[in-house]
Amino acid sequence: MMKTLLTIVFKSTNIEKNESPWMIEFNDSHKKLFDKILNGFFNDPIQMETSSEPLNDNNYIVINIKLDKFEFLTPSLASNDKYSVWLKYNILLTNPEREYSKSWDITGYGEQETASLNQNQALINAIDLALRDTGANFTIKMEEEMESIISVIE
Amino acid sequence: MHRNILLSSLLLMTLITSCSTTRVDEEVNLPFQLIEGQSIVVLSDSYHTGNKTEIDFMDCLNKNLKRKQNKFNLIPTNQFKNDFYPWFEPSTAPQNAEQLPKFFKREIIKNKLEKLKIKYIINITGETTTNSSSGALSCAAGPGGGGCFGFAWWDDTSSYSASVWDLNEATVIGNVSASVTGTSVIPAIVIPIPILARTQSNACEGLSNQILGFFS
Repeated sequence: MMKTLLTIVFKSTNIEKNESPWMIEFNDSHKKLFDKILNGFFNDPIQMETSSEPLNDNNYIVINIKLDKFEFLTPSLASNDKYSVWLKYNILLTNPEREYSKSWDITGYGEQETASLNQNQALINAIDLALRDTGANFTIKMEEEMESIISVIE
Repeated sequence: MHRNILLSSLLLMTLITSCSTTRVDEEVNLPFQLIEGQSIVVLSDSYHTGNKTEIDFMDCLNKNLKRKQNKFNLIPTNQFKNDFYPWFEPSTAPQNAEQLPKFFKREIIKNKLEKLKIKYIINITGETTTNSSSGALSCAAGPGGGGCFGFAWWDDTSSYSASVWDLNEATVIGNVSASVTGTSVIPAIVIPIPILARTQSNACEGLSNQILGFFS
C-alpha cells in the first residue's frame, strides 16, 4: 500500500489592479490530511517518493494524490464579503500487476465571511474548511470503494 | 475653549445612546422531555444552503448555554464535528430533521450518539446584517492638533432562529428565535465617540435564554 504526496506553495498573480498578490504556504497541510485519512483506513501505509522503485509485491495499491486545481475568490474579486476556496485533487489508484486502475476527482469547498476577522484569518479559515471538505469527500469515496480496493490487495 | 468642547462632547454622549429593539418567539410542536445528564449539541445550518451564521455567534451561544445551566451536557460544536467527521461537515450534514434516519442507518453514528447521550440537535440559522447607513464624518490634522467633526449612524439587524431536532423521533419539536434591531451612532466633536448597538451579542443572549426557557 503506497502513496505519493506533495508539498505545495501557491503564489497568485495580480488579477485586479487593486488586488495585492497572495502567497500561501500550505507546507504539509495537504499531506497531513491524506495521511490521517489513509492511516484510518489501512495499517501502516508506506510513503513513496515519486522517483521510488515499484514494489516487488502484488498485494498493494499505489495511491497517487495530485492537487489539480486551487482557486480562490476574495471579497473584492467576487463583490461580496467572503473568501471562497475551491480545491480539486486527482487521485489515481493503480496496481499494474492486477490491471487495476481508478481515477477519482475529489473536490473541496470552503467559504468564510470576513465579518470581524482580518483578511488573512478569513482566508485561512476558508482554506481549512475546503481541506476538511476534501477530507470528508475523500473519506466517503474510500468507504464506497473499499470492497473493490480490498479485493485487489488481498 | 477646549474644555467647553470636551463638556459638549460628554453631554452629547449622555444624550445620545444607542437604541435597540429585541423580539423573541417560541413555538412548541410536540411534547418532549430532557432528562438530566442527556446531551445537546448546537450546529449551524450549512453555507451551502445560503446560511451565514457567524463563527463568533456560535461561540457565544456555546459559551452562554454552558455557563447558564447544569441540567444538560452541552457538547461543543467543534468537538462534535470532529467526533463525527465526516458526517456533519457543511456538505455532508443533514439539512433538516427528516434526513436524520438516513444518518442513523450508519452504526458508527448511532453508537456514538448513544455513547454521548445526545438527545437533541439545535440547528441555528440567521445572521447579522447592516440595513442602512448615513451621515458623514471628517477628520483633519494640522501643526496645532487635529480632530473630527460630523455624525454617522447605521442600522443593524441580528436575526437568528433555533430549530430543535429530536434525534429519536427524527422530527422538529420546536423553534425559538431572537431578532434584535439597533442603531449605532458616531458623533464627533473633535473626538469621535462610537456608541454601538451590540445587536449580535444581544441576539446571542436572547436566543440562549430562549433555548434554556424551551428546555426548562
